[in-house]
Amino acid sequence: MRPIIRYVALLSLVLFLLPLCGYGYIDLGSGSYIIQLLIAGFVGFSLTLRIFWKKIKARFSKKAKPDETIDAG
Amino acid sequence: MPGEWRALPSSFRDPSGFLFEREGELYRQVNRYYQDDYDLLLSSGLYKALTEQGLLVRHDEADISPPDPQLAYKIIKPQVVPFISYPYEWCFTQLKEAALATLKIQKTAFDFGMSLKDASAFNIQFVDGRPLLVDTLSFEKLRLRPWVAYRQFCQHFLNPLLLIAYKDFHLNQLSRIFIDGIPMSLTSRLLPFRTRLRPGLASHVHLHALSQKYFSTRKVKVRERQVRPVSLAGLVESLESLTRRLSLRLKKTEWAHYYEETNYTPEGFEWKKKLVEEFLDIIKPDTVWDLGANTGIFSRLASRRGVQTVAFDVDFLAVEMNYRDCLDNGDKNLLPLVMDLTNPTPAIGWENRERKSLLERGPADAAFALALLHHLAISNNLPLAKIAEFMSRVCRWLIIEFVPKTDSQVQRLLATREDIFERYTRPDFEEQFSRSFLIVRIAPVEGTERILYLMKNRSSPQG
Repeated sequence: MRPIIRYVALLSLVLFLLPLCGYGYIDLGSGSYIIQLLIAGFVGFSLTLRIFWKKIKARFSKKAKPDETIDAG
Repeated sequence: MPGEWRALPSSFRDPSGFLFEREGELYRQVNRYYQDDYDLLLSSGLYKALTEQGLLVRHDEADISPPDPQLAYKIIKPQVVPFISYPYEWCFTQLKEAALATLKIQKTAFDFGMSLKDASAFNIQFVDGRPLLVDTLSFEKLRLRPWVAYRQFCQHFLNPLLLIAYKDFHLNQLSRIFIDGIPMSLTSRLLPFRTRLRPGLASHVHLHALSQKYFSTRKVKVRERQVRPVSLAGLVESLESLTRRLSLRLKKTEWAHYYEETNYTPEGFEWKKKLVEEFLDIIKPDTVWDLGANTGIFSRLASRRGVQTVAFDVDFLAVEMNYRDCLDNGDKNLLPLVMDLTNPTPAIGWENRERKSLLERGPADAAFALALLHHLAISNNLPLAKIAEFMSRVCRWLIIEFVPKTDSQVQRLLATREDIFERYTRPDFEEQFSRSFLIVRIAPVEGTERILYLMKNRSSPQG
């Protein structure tokens, strides 16, 4: 989760400087699409890292205690 | 020859099919346009998995002639939902359960190679006390593209939940104004500053709103992008963990503690319950509306008999407590809903017909109006004639409690206002209600000055 926190913290700094305004007849779809790509990208990346990390941990813990299964979340 | 049919005014946006009524039965036409996805829903095993988990409405394929044969692929007959409710009538936990059910459905759909193409809160209904997806045509084949219903999920579920949890539960009513969900920009502006410091909230709400604003004024070429399955799963998981962590801190309200502050003796209270039970034995209703139900103590007298009972109350927290009790006790026949009887849910949406008003969803076989009359007549200045007229439109039988002016609870209401209620008397009450109702039983509640009436509607009210 750490990389996401750093990423979001940085972007939230930008948010403080940019107050939002109301708007009328415009398409809000592209904005939702793009933010979703960003979030999905980062969350997906972090999930992949977590899975990878679990595998590494499992490999090492297997050496120490062969009975312990992947349980670190 | 197809018989007389009527398309439901709530079902016209989706080209995949539509709901219609024929001879009092509800059907759904599945259009050819949706043929592949419908077949996949069944052949992939997703339909079986979701219906077994109680997450998707069951249906049977019906062998009847389609109302629109040119478009029709199949006609299905869905399981009947006893009472249609709307997100602006739900308490916090109902909305949260509905949101989590939607995400669980999406996760299950991924496992079967499908995905939700709609995440509308209106597609969820409460059946047997649990949220159920009632739109069978909400699924499509999973493509590795961004989730098409992501914005809808945020607007319909996440935003109202956040506004209730972080600001005020009254903001749930915004869902009534914004029929396609509360806008991201509004939510972002209303939420407190500290929510910008939470990663999940910052990204799904504040950055989302910012991104919408930024790209709304720019011409962007959005390239079709592939999204990895792990990213799609991650997105849903992130929404789920955000939703799951949201909670409502209960505060004391006048209403939520009503039963503790009542002027009933325990014996009087039990006596009143006994009378209601006796009246229910006479009526034997299939449906009950408990008007001003508070936390639903009296509603349960009906729901425990297997009667489909809706417990309405104006107090959001009383409804919240009632629903939590339903969850704890597995009460399947009771549906608590937020409703201000002095301003009941109107019909809204396209042509004012898309979502029904309260009255259009009635009448009920029986209504309870227990410890309610004085609130309507005295707190809200409603003349008894008007109250009688309203009651006659919502029920066939009425169990109503007359609370005289000398009652200490009425005196409490009168303490801060001038007594202009000369006509709030028992003879006036009986006279006004007798115009629409036949008084069948009159029973004093022992140990109090209150009187319980069983009344029968003189004319069967129209729904």
